[in-house]
Amino acid sequence: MIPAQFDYVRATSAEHALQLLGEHGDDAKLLAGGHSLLPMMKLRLAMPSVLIDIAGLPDLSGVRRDGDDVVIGALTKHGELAASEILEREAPLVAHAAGLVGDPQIRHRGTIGGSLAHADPAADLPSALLASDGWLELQGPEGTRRVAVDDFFTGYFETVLQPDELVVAIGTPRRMGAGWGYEKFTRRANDWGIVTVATVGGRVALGNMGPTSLRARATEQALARGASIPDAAELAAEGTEPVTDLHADGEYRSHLARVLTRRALTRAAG
Amino acid sequence: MAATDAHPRLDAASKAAGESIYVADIELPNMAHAAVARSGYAHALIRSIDTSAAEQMPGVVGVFRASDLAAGLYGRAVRDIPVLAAEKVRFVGEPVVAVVAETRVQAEQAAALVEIDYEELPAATTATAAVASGAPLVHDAPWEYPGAFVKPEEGHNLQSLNTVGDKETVEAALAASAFVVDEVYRTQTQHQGYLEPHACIASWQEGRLHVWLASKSPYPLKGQICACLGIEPDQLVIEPITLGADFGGKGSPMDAPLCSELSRLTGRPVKLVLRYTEDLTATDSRHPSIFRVRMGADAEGHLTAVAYDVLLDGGAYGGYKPSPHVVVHGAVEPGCYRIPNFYVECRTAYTHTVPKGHMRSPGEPQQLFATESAMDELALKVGIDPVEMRKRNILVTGDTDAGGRQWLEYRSTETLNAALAAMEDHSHEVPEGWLFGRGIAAYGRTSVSFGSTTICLIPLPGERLRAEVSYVETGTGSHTMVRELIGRELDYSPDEIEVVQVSTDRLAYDFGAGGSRVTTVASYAIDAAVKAWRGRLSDEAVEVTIDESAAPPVGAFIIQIAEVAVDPVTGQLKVLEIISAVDVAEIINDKAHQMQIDGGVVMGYGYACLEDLMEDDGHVWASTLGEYKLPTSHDAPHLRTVLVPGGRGHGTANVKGIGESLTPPVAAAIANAVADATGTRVRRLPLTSEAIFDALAGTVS
Ligand SMILES: Cc1cc2nc3c(=O)[nH]c(=O)nc-3n(C[C@H](O)[C@H](O)[C@H](O)COP(=O)(O)OP(=O)(O)OC[C@H]3O[C@@H](n4cnc5c(N)ncnc54)[C@H](O)[C@@H]3O)c2cc1C
Repeated sequence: MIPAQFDYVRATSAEHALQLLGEHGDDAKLLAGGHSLLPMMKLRLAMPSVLIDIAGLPDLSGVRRDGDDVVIGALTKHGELAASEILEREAPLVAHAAGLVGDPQIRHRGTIGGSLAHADPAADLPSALLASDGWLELQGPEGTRRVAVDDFFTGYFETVLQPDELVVAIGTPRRMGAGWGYEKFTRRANDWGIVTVATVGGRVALGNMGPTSLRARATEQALARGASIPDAAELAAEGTEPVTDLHADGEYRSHLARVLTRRALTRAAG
Repeated sequence: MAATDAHPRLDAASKAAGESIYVADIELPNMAHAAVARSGYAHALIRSIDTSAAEQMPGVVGVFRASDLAAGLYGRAVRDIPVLAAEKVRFVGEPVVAVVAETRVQAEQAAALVEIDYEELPAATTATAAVASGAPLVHDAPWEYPGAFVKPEEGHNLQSLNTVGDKETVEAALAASAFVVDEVYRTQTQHQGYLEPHACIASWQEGRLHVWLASKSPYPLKGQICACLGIEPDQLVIEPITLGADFGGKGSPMDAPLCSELSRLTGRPVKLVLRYTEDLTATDSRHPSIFRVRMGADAEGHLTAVAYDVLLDGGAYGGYKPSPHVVVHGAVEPGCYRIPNFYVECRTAYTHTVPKGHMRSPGEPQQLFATESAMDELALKVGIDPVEMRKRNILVTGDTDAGGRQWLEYRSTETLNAALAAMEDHSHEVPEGWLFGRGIAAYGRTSVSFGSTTICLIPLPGERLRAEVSYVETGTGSHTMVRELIGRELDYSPDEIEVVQVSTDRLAYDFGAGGSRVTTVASYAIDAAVKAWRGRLSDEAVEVTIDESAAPPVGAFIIQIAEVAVDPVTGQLKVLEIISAVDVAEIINDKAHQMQIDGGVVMGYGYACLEDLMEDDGHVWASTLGEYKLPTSHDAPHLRTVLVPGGRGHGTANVKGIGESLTPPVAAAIANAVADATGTRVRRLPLTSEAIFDALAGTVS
């Protein structure tokens, strides 16, 4: 199918983008890499009447250190994350997960801000940042606010981001030398994960095990109590309701969550 | 075997540079564009159609329904497909209304506004459901369609019923066998996965219809369109085209009858290019199958009898198949073993699902998956190694097969030995904790040369030569091969020869690409053309038409060995390597030949492990190339080929067909390797991690 009719405007600054969002309200959508939005529009699951292109905005791209955090511009592309020396050293989980997103073409266009705002429970970066205890900086008409990734996702493709807000940056604590693990189980090379597991610093996040990326709380608590990795991993699917879809049965997903959690934790401990 | 110094493909540079002109690229003066409104129901009566909103959309030239058309039904062997659905729809995706507009987007936007009011009817969406008595009828009287091969008494909702052999003797032989395997094997729907979607342009000009269709068989197409439209052959020209691959899916008229009618009704050339979702959901994929195999052996593991009970899902129409039966070589032929007693009953059902058609080696991958899995299962019962089981039963030169055919050459032993030797001389790294397994599959194929073709050699100024051929370059290198052979015989260098496909007005006939016949038939045609050229009295053109239906078939034998690793914890499968030992005669262009081998194996791998249109409840759920899992280069296993030269081929060039030989045995070789690794048999494709995990957990067989 082809998208429904829409208008296209190119924002020249973050402020301009916000102003345009204010003018067009709910009818407008921000366009970053377009690698989630355009497929949705082709399937007519999204039918914005105006696209506000922010892909060319200066200052919203790049990775830098800021005190105890690494701060990533919202328009930084997956490929840039995967190649970032700062991330490689101080948040390798994020770099690694970004390097597993789709294929090179997608990593060349897709952005971290778009990935988080889109909030696909199967995506790689939301879980990586959830496990990392990351945060987002959102800019709106009233100024900026900071939201923990823990509080960001509210439902299937839903977040606390308001229609008149822009994700400007994503941050994650610097964790030089901390053990981490990331497991992505796919049907085919370059595919979306059927289940993904990210872990660092005793936090465990699951992808595609429910409507949002979510924490494996029972596992985390067991680890905090001093349980062994196999015992803690056995609890990974507790409290989750994974869907049955074309690519896997819910029960199989639960099994994978347990196995992959064990593997990710073992890797992090090793 | 003569060493071949492969010249580059003559179509490669222009394809790589994006310069080749495909049907979608062709622009004609005053051309309009079509889009189709399709059924959302598997089975429903059309109560009413409201086109008023669509008609008012910008750029719309006309909106047409079945009653506006003068065309009859269309099809290849049986004519049962309506150009647009009239009173009822029979599958989700069936064309109901066509919109013609100034641009493609305008046509699509208007088509989305066509309102069709349906009365939903109960549907038979699986073959098993459809053949049960009392199931809703897909067609009231399928035996009345022109070219039908089914008779009223043969059963419910059947496209065809085919039996071979004697049931009674087989039953008796099975009953007396020391060991019997009785299992059911199931396969999914596979799509051809060509890059270019179906595309057509039709243009009525001064009383003649010109058609550009993404088609692999222009001459049979001509007859099919004439039959559907009720026009005379001299009113129709099929124009030459570049084809963006076929893999069997581009052999039917598809949208040509519709575009032809739309051109007549609007007085303009009309182009229709499908979106890939339409290709996946509404064209002519490979038949899903259910094979019950009963295979008996004596105490030493010699086969005593084989019985197949086959049920194929043919979808809503049978007209996309060029032959009555799906299984051309497969179940109607007894395979590559000495089988004293043989019986097949093969039914192809009409169902309320997307019609099925032919795909690279039609029927064979299904049959091979069942047969070669059963061979391993029988070996296990007998208590001998699967390789030994095959050695004891495989046909060899001079043997007569269960179909009564005596083989002048059957290079099974040489090929098997070559594969085993290749297997011996290396090892793999298996991830820690994973299980390693090996599986074998054997495939005896008949390399045929059938159907007529025409070739014309024309002298050009400057000691150059032009070869006009009647068949389409489907992407296999078949035009390059002509240049290669003529150059060799008549001593021209490749850049002195041009090879072109011409319209159906220029040359007499070609049967079309299919059955791995192109190179074999062309080699006979080139023999004849070269002879005529040498015998010319002056520097004139020569044209020859040959019919090699009578050329005796030769064997083309394949052994594949798959080596796999399975993670017992998740069921994840890694196919480490596939070794293919291939019985060959001479090879004209070794690169093109190897591409057929590699592509064929990877296509078989996709079938074995990934690809599935996921048909359920009358819908194709894998409706995009994101959901339909074609293998990528990262997925493809390591491939190793062992050519076994010295075989007997066709023509002076001494060649065997290769295009369809490698795909069929792959799934069985992998399934056998998984069974070897895990001790568990999976009897259903594709072999997903979850399917293997479930089998290991004992939840399914
Ligand atoms: C074939 C394919 C395979 C893929 N495979 C994977 C995979 O394996 N793993 C994975 O994680 N992802 C995968 N993706 C998705 C990819 O990562 C996307 O790039 C990403 O999800 C969205 O980023 P984008 O920049 O393209 O966003 P866009 O598509 O431009 O936007 C997505 C949404 O976010 C909003 N948005 C974008 N930027 C901002 C911002 N700064 N502030 C507020 N809202 C914003 C848009 O309005 C829109 O609603 C795949 C995509 C494709 C096409």
